[in-house]
Amino acid sequence: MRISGRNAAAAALGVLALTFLCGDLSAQGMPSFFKKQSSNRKRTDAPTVVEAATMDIDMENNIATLLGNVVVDDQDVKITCDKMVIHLEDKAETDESDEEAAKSETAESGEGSEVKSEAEAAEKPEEKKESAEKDSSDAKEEKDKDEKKDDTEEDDPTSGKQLKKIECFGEVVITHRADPNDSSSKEQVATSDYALYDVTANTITLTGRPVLTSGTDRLDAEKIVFDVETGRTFITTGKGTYYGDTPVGSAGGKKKK
Amino acid sequence: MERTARTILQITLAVLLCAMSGAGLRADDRGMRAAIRDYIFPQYRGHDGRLQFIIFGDEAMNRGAQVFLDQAKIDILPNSVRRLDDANIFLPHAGQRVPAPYPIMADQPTRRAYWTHPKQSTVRAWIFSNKAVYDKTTNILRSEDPVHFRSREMDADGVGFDAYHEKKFIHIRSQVKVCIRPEVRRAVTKDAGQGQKQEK
Repeated sequence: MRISGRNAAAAALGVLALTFLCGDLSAQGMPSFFKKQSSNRKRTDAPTVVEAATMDIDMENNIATLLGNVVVDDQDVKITCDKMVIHLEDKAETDESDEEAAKSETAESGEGSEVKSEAEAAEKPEEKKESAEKDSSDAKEEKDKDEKKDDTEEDDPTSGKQLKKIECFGEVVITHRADPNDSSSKEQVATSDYALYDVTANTITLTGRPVLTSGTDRLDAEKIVFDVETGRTFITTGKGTYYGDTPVGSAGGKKKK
Repeated sequence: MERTARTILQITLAVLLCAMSGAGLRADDRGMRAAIRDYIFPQYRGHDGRLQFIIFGDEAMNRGAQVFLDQAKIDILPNSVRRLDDANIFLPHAGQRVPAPYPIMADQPTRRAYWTHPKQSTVRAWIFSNKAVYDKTTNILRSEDPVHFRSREMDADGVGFDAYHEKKFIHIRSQVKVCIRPEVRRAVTKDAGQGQKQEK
């Protein structure tokens, strides 16, 4: 797996901590900036087009750097910035690290399960047999799934590297277009000096005077993290300031925090 | 058959490279120039001799320290390829021409057909340009003409480029348009899903 057990635990802890810290903002009716797109809005297989003045491609390090008037025009989002760095990685690298993580997990769980199974064997030998049969069946199913997955990937000659992260520098403006299928949705805009899209964590982090706006709502903070999967926005550093007409919690009306 | 063609190619290459370097010296001395048709110009990294690029093209003109290339097609090789023997290259002398680049917004079937060609198996990426100049003193290949970069995950068009084979580094000078393929995004979604599962 790409995320090792330790990293996953750290990430989970981080998310929990952030949820706790920022719970009053996100849970009490804070307008959801860059909220998750509605199910009606289906993503097409259209490629993402990026325009820039110049480009450097470092094939050895799997890095592409776009410089000057960078514009990304995607179906849902438009991004402009001075510089964009696209980090790619080998799929093989991911697979290897996945295998290593899986091995270590197996080793860790293996030690514990050995002790447990010995104890269980002494008490319930029949259950152990059933459990072993079930495990064997599960393992076979997993193996079949993996084989199918490998076949699919090998069949696709156009699949080369995969995205690792994208960094945006200088005058970053991220515009999340309003959903044409949802009349209540508004165009949402984020501005900052730096933005990082971390593919592994599936988060967008804004630093350097980040400001989020959605209609008349506005949120300032030192560092803002947007979880792409859940659509939630977190302020991780410093105090967030919210200005807007959207009711916050039960108080409602205009509120400044 | 292919082995014979490869052997002929390797001998031809060796002769051509010797001729190019020799002709280069003579050209400096006597103002002569040497032209080569259907050239294949492998470029190796200095410190370990690893094959980095293979430059294909219709005609190369050697003038002093510079080689002027027509219809340059640069095969950027993956790290798994160390020598010419490891590469599954197109052999122009055997009628195997490097296919022209597909349009930058080409659909998936078109790109699939392009990259499934057996000779593309050891190609990491291509750079295409009508005209280019290779400087033997700096090892930099440059062009002021439109350039097309094609790879499995990302395609780019632009105007003018500089390519440095030692570092497998390419600079596109202006009017850059990049197309990031949905396959890359799908990988993202899949991995993100796995990450979420792990966290749970």
